[in-house]
Formats: sequence, structure tokens, C-alpha cells
Amino acid sequence: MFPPRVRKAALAVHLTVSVGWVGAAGAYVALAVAAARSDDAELTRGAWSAMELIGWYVLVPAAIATVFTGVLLALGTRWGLLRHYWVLVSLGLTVAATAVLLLHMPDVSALQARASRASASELETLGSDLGHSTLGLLLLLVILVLNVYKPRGWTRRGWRLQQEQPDRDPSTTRRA
Amino acid sequence: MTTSSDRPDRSSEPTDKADTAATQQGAGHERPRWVLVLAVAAVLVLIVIVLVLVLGDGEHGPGRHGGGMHGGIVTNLSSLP
Repeated sequence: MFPPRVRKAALAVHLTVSVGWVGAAGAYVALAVAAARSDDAELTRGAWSAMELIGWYVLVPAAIATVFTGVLLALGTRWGLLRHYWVLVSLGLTVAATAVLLLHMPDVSALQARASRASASELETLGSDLGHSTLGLLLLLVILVLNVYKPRGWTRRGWRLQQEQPDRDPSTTRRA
Repeated sequence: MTTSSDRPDRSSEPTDKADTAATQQGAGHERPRWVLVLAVAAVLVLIVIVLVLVLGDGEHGPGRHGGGMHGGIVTNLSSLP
């Protein structure tokens, strides 16, 4: 288990990168809407450039850092990584969102390259990134709600560990 | 929010009343209903996505735009200035 100061620092970093990820995803959706709906060619090109920059330099680092600090925090506290369904589901969804993001970002770069060289009429046929970004943001909000409400439910492994080591039960043990 | 480093930090521990209630209500290892609801919602979303892909243009997935970040080769460039 982490000592209190280390745990607090890890939690601060995890909150920063995970909530930052949600905020950046919201900004990305706004840019995706602008890129998809605007009739202004310069605005569309600018939106694609901003989406690529936010994607590679904010979303991707925040996603990777969220997975890393989340696993660290789970292993370093009494919640554990595989003891509660809400932790397990959060981990699965976060890893899935990160994987899709990493697989999708090269496409965003390619579209940005096309947008930067396309004429105004060609920009209209470029397509949009609203689907990915909106679904991604919704997924992050689901994960956020899970982490705030921490719905009940032991996993089979967590239940067995709790029976074997009742002193490690996070719901009944309080530290001095 | 606790700011003193001398006080116990319970911000990341399941030790407050809400967390205690949540975990105690979940006594037993049976799969809770919310997990089932979430799984059904996920399957529905996946079905919708698959339908959109099948009924759409069918072009999707990594690299669909021609090589990705470092590929440099994109489709329909011949008409570009």
C-alpha cells in the first residue's frame, strides 16, 4: 500500500490527466463540429490542424498517463485492480478508449494533411470526425461516472481475497 | 478537502460512508445488475456501429486514409493543386 503522501500525489496526477483528457476531448468535439459544419475553408483547415495537435499532444499523452496512473493507484490502494467490478470495468473501458485513440490518430493526421492542401470544394467532401470524437467523449463520461459513484460489486477474485484476508476489506478497514 | 498532510488521506481509499455502503451492499460475489446493464448497452452500441459500417461505405479502420501519420500518401490527391 502507498503511504498517504504518495497516494495523494498519485491521486492528484491521476485526476489531472484523466479529467484533462475529458476536457480535451470536449474541445476536440467542438473543433470536429467546426470542421464538419463550417463553410469557411480557413476555419475548416485550422480546425483540422488543431484537432491533430490536440490529439497527439494532449489526448494521447493524457490517455496513456490515465491508464498508467489508474493502474498504479489501484495497485497501491486497498481497492486493488481486480477486486471490484467498477475498477475492472473502468480499466477495460479506459484501455479500449486508449487503443482506439492510438489507432485512430494516424487517420486524423492523414485527414489534416488532405485538408491543408484541399480546395474549398474538396473540403466539403473530406468527411468529419464527429462520430469517433462524440462516442469517445461519451465513453469517458461513463468512466468518470463509474469512478465517482463506485457502484457496488465484488469480483469473484475480490470476494475470495476478502474472505481470506478480511483485514484488507476496503469497506470496513480504516487506517489510523 | 483535507489539506493537512498530518491527517489521514482517505481521498483515494474506499473508507468514506458512501464507499462503505456501496461495498457492503455488494456483499457476495454475484455479478451486480449494473454490470449487466452496461454490458447490454455496450453490445447495442457495437451492433449500431457494425450496422453503420455495413450499410455505409465500408471504409473504416486504421490506415483507411492512406498510410496514416507518416504515410504521406493520401487518396484523391491527383485533383489537388
